[in-house]
Amino acid sequence: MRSRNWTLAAYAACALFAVFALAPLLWMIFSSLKPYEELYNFPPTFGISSLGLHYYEKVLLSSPFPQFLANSLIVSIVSTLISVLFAAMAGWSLARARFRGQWLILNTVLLAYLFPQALIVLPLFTAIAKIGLANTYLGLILAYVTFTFPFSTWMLTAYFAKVPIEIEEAGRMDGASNLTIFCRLVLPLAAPGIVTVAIFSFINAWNEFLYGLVILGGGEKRTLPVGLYNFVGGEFAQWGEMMAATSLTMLPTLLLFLFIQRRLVGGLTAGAVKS
Amino acid sequence: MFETHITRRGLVGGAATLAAASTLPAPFVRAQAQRRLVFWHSYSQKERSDAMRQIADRFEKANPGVKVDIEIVPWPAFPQKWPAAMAAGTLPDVTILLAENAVPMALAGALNPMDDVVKALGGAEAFKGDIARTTGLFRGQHVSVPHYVHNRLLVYRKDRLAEAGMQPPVTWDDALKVAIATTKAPDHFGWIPKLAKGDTGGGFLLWMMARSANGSFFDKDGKVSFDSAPVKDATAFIVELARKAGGPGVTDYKINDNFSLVNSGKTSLAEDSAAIVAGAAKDAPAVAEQLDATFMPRRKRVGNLLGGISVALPKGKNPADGKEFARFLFAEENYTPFLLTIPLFMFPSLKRAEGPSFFDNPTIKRFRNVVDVTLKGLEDTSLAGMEHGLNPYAGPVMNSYAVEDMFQRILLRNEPIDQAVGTTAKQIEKVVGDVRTRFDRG
Amino acid sequence: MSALAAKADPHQPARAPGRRLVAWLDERLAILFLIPGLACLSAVILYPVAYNAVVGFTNASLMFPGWRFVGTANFEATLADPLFWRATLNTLVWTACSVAGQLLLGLVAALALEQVTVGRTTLRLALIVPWAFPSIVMAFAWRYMLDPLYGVLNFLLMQVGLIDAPQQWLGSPDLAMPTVIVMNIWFGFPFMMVAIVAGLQTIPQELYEAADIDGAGAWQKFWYVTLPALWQVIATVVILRTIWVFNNFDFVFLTTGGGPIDATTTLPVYAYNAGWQQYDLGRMAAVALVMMVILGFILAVYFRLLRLQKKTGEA
Repeated sequence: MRSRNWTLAAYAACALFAVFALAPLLWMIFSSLKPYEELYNFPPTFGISSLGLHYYEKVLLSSPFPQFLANSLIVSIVSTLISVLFAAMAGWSLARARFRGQWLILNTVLLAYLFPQALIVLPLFTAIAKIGLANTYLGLILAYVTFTFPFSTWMLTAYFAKVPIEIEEAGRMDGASNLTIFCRLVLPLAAPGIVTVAIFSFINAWNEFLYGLVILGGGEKRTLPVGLYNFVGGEFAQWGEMMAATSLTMLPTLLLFLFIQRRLVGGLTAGAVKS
Repeated sequence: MFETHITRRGLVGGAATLAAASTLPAPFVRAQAQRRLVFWHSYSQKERSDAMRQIADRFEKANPGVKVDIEIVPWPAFPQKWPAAMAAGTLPDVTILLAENAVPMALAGALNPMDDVVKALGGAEAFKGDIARTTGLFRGQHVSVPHYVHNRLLVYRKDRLAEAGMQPPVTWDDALKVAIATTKAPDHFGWIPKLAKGDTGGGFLLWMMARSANGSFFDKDGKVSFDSAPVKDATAFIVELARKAGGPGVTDYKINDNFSLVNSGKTSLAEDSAAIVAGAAKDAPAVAEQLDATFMPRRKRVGNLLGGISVALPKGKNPADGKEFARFLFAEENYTPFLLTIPLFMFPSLKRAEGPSFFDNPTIKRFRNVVDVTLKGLEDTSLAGMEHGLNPYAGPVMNSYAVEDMFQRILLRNEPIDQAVGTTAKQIEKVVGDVRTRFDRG
Repeated sequence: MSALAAKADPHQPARAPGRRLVAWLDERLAILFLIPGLACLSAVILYPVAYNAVVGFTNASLMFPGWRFVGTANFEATLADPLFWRATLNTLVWTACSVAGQLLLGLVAALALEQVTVGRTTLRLALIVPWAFPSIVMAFAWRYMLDPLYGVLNFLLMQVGLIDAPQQWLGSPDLAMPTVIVMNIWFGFPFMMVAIVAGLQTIPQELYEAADIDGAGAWQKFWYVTLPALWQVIATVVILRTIWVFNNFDFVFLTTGGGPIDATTTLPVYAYNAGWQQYDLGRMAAVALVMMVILGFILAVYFRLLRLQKKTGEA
């Protein structure tokens, strides 16, 4: 039974968390709307009369934003789909299959994280170039899948372990193949976990800079972070432009999250009926 | 019952379609099968990147069959991008780089010599002062050619000086007095040195001041001379400046913070290139109105610091066209217009470009004194730690942030200056020693 | 062939050979399912791992072509450097505090969100925002807010009377580490939250109903139903986050550069400086390998704790 006090406390906590989480973003957006002269005032100005959208105009008009967006979407969506698919397969396999060495495999995939990514650009790019994927979308996608697959596999193994084995056994009784059981019975039940790793994979690919630059380069195939780094990686930080560019970059991530969440809520109600 | 939106068919089908689409080569890759020229630059601002694309277009027109692919590599990412490209065999044919970055590239065997290009441009004599040699000559070969240059100045606020009844400073003592007199904490400070870790602001400033006192970090053979009177003198000066007129943020700020510090009026004096004035003219016109510049304050002489942004020819797949393109960048119709895309940001490395077409630009005219001080300084200047010519020690020494660490120990832990300089000299000896063991063997 | 047929599901008598192959494959689906992911991983990751393992014992450099084996010289130099030990200590503090903070906030936020009915979607979206920040922007945004001269945080804290004068959040040796840890918690708690929310949704409702029947209070339900059910998810995110935070580089590098002095120099920053700033690839690889050993040790402790927990949990 949910007591009223608990609910109140929950609202209070959520409000606090929201302030903590949003404050930097809000302050950034607010600052990006200010005229330059007011950016460095102390005490800071809080007036809204002088706000304007000039930096957003500049970013949208002065950089090939749509092209960066398209490149980023291709790389992020494909790498997310592949990573989630492969991880779901591997995760289920590891959670269910009774063979020796599961634990060993789980630990081995962590090899991908043993070295900070900034330290292995050189050999990693060499490996990608050796298999002929330098300067291709597929090369970057492969790198991103590699970065997210171990994480996703671990997460999904944990979630799949929670799916009652009886459901699968019931399916087997009905004569369904393992593949059917996986696709029809298991995947839907693990939807919350799948959504989690999908978001993780997407954000990882969407925000990554260094490998985007090294593998796809700074030309026509630039992804958004590489393209937008121009506003901060130059001789000086173009604060207004940077913020405007950032909000524009973050928008798809947040939209995706909103979208997935809606679907997730729907899927969950369907799942909740199961019992 | 088990209805879901993540269906297998949707997931697999979507992935397959997108994966297939992503492996297709983009049309532009196919078109350039023949003479593809890869050009990297770091001119991220729209004005400059547009100018580079236009020059490339003109080059394509003048050389039918050549296709110039431009990649923009942000400055901070360049040191990682080239080794990766070299390891994978994807170096560009032409690149823009910071002159000091050509040294490791040349040693690693990533660069083709540019003596032909220098000769075609009129020899080292065609360049201002001695900069063709000081920025590009390494082990008897030109490894890079300066595309444009700038020099560190002391930028000051005319209004603040007038208010304090002071003249633009000439000596260290003047500078200290002016800095203290123009400090009005917490609103603004006299001169905020930028001594953050992970940035070379402290190393550059100390090197300039040590030069000014006739000292240096190491000699031309790499013998470390850091633990010396001039360096201690310069350290003491900067520490006093930081304590009395630097405000609370000196260990926080990086060189690039100068733009916001000057534009916001937080600092009355700043060591920077003329670009800082260009930035103010663009973002804070009211501040720019009050800006002027003089030479860096001197002890025995002016310690100039050169900023050299150069062209180099990495070992790409199309060296012949690369060479042509490098020359083309300096062609009359390309060069001065490029320098003027952001006036005051870039100064000509070629003497012949110092003509009316450069000086008649309204912004150049408006800040003519800043321009003149820069051009005068360029006659006797060098890259940080490179006063004896390009060497492999300066990069690792500056990038070790040993100097910034020293200032922070003095300012935050009150370590005595003599002791701090001694400790840092040992660290620098270690860095230089590590390089020497490899370098001396050839 | 007959052996295979015998192995096939008795409910599905073998028919055409094609079918039989499918059935044969389906039997081994668990193994087959592992192949694509592991193949990707080995194509990309094996070489870098092997490369580091070899290069750590050489004098390979970005600046000088050619290399030779130097035995354990890189490791000796690393272990003899006092800064390395300082960086190790910093990394442990940074990792432990960040992960603990992220987990605590993530857990509380997830539980709070579950109680909320009105505006849940909006709140969830709000709480996820930090995660969507690219690291370079995050560094700039925080540096801007924390600036000692014009930062808004100093202003707000002075307004409410928590501090008397502007503080140097990132530029003072005492404050820098706590500050970057708070920033990292800010960045990382949404991930924990999302993972835990997903975990909460897999807990069967009957368990709570049963607890209600037994007259359990909110605390008891949390302690005896929620937490045990979440255990595996929490253990997983903690392990993975630990690795991630331990190896995180850009966050610290972009905000403090490892300073002031050595206050926030973590091992990745230390390794990066050796390799990319000093051109010493051998040293960098050696530090990376030492980091791997430390991390391996931490993970071993985790796994041991997990196993203990499992046993006591089952008992």
